[in-house]
Amino acid sequence: MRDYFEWTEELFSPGKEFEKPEALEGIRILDLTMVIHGPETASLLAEFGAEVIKIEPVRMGDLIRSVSLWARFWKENSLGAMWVNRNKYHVAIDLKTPKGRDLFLKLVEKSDVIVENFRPGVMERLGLSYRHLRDVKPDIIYISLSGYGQWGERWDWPSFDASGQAMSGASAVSGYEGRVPLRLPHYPGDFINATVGFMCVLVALYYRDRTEKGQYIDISQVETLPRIMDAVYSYVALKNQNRPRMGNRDPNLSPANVYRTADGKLVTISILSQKEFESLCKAMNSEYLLNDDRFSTTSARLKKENADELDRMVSKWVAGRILDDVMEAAKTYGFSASPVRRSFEVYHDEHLRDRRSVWIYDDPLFGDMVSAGNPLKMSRTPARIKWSVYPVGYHNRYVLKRVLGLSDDEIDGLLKEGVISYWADFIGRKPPADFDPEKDPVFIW
Amino acid sequence: MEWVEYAKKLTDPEIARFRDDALVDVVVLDISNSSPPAHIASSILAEFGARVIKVEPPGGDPLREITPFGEHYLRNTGLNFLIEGRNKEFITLNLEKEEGRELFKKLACKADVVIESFPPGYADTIGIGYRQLRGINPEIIYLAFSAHGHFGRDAKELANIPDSNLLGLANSGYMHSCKELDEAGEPYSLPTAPGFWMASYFTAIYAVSGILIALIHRNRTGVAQMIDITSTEVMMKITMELQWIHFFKEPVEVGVLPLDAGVFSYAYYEVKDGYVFASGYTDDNFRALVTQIDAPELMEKYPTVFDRTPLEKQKQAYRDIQNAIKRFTFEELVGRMFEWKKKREEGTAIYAKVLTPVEVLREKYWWNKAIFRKYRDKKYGEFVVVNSPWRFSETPPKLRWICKDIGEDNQHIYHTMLGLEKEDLENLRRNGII
Repeated sequence: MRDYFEWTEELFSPGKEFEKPEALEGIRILDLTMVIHGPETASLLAEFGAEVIKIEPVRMGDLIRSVSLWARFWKENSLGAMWVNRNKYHVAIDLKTPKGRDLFLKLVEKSDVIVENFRPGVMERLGLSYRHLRDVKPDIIYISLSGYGQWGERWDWPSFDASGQAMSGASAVSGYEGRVPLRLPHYPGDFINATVGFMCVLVALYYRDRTEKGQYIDISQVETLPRIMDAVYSYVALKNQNRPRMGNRDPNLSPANVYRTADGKLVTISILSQKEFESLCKAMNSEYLLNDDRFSTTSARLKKENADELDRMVSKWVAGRILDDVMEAAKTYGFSASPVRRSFEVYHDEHLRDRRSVWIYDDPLFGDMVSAGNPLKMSRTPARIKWSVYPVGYHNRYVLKRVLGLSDDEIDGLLKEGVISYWADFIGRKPPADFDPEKDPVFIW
Repeated sequence: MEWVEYAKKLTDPEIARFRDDALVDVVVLDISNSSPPAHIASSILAEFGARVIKVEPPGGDPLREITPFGEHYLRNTGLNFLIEGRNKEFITLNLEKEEGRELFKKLACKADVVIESFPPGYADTIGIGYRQLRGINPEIIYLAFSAHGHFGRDAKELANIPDSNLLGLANSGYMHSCKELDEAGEPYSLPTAPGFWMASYFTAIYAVSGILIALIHRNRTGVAQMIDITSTEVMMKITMELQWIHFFKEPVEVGVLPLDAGVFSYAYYEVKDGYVFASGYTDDNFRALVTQIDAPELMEKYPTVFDRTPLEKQKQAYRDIQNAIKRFTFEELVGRMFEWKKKREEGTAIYAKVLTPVEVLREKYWWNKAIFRKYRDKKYGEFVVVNSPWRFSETPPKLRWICKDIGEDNQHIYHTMLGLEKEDLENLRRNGII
């Protein structure tokens, strides 16, 4: 039989994503979202082939266009906006004008999914909530992403990723006792719930394919967090007492921590089953531990005092070895270990480049570019990165002509009235200086 | 009718159990072992109505033994396993024996999805990998969890390393951005993992999405596929640093807690009665914040985003705000915020209290929204479960039962799916197959 990894290499054929079909081809999505929480949901759908039309406020567009890492921009564009917007068509419509609203409703008739993350009640005031749109398109799938959901005592509370982390207990269980709790970086409340949004839309699409029924989905950034906090809430409720914060120690696993190697590097070791523990003991040449009552079963290993003792032993073992030797042992004996890497190392990781998780490509607007490829490696319908963010209103003509059949005159009229717009001459909104939109057939469609 | 009222009617948890199940026609075989993300993923699929059959070795999945500090076992089941056994049926089957694998193949012929977590290549070696299963059931969707994946140059070399929550956090670079400034000293300035299984749960959510994509594609075209997922690559999707490195050809430091690399003020501060999150990023919002904490002079000191965001300036600005804000309690800050709103001043400062799980459990809010539920069970007793918080008007996720014992559904499943009788099962049991 052929070597398994040769076979998988051919099955997944990385680098040939564009030769394979797209699972969500033919699905049209109207994306009325800003910042991270909603935009990421729509981007994930677009990576699998959905046609996503991002509708931004006129001229200045999405607020994230002002935000960049350390306020440093690339070609006058925001790294944040580039990161969370992928494969979208960018249109700018003023939904507060009657004509803008009409235009939007016409798009709804030809669409499958609406994604929005305004504060609850805003779409209702615009006359564009689910109850309005289901009249226009009965099988529409409509998802709202918000801080606290569309109903309940807190529906109108403003929310950010960090306030969600604070209010849900996610921060208070992270870090060390006596320190300011950790505000978990990279906006996980936004990104994880955005992925939940992606999952929920797929659930609704699957159901619609079978029953022809659309539906409304209401997901909340704050409320998702307790659901993903493993056994924290069940445990704390049983004990009626908070779990101590233990840095990198995991109360559910033993041993599990970050350790320092002889060459000063950091490595994680994490053991779940007794089988994995045997592997570690073999690597440590300490198989006698398997017969020690304190470590001979998983439940014994987990007990605080036994876990502390084991942690000390592993710490000592790692301290006597360089990182390469620890990793060699992990490969040979089969236990979970990893160097604690910086993104710089991740970026240069050839294995992750092979897998298209570090996805380097030629962006039509920005040229040489990188993105994080989708972590779902699908053998038949792989995700793909086509392009990053475009300027505000860049695809006005392309979308309004192709989808709604508007004429040049009609489009010019809407522009003059301010119903639609192109970008403001402002950092984060416009094309890079070295790019001429007039030469792009898509722009002048 | 007001929108809030209408929205509640659409997704009211009281009537959720009378609604449809989205995945009612999907059969999932979960043969994963010691894998939190796999166990969570199949739990979510079952909440959406899939028929999930968890296939355990005769001694049970070692994940059953996992519970915080080894303290609580309800009927010999650890909390981490218990709370993700949602709506699943539980059978046993020894896949280490040929007879067990033959039975498994028969089950796979009647399933839509197989979920596994073996070291890459192992299932193939024992004849139940995707290569073999698609030969006997071309429509099977095959999801594999691992640490470094089933293809790519290092896949074979790293195949023996099991995935873990810590591995995904460390290997992706995420953990490196989760640490305090160097000034804090060790261990606080060292990379730190979140205090819950963030990578495992995030990976599970992606995995469920992958299965749905594969199901949608299969139902439209008849073509199935394999899905390969690692927690490292899942976490990479949110570490927003790759572009910086690519463009500027240098590393970027984002592990600067309590500060933030993108926006300021967007931080936790110590106040009189604990910790609060306080934000004010745009000029108007920053003015609102500093005025409300009686430090309007900070607006002159840090007039624009560019005077507040860069690292050294942000450190100073953070100290200044910390000094001013510590004179208040959380309630006082909220009072200031409402006063400001009443006067219709420009800008919004947002405050949120950093609550511990005990405090969160005391808030009526979560119970009123059916996020928490006191689960009472004849077998497991009484404990708190976090319900699915995702609200659907037609196909809400549901919790029918929380978990079952090892092999509890053997008789039912083997009889209804494979037509086995009591004596067949007795033989299998004697041979150590179930």
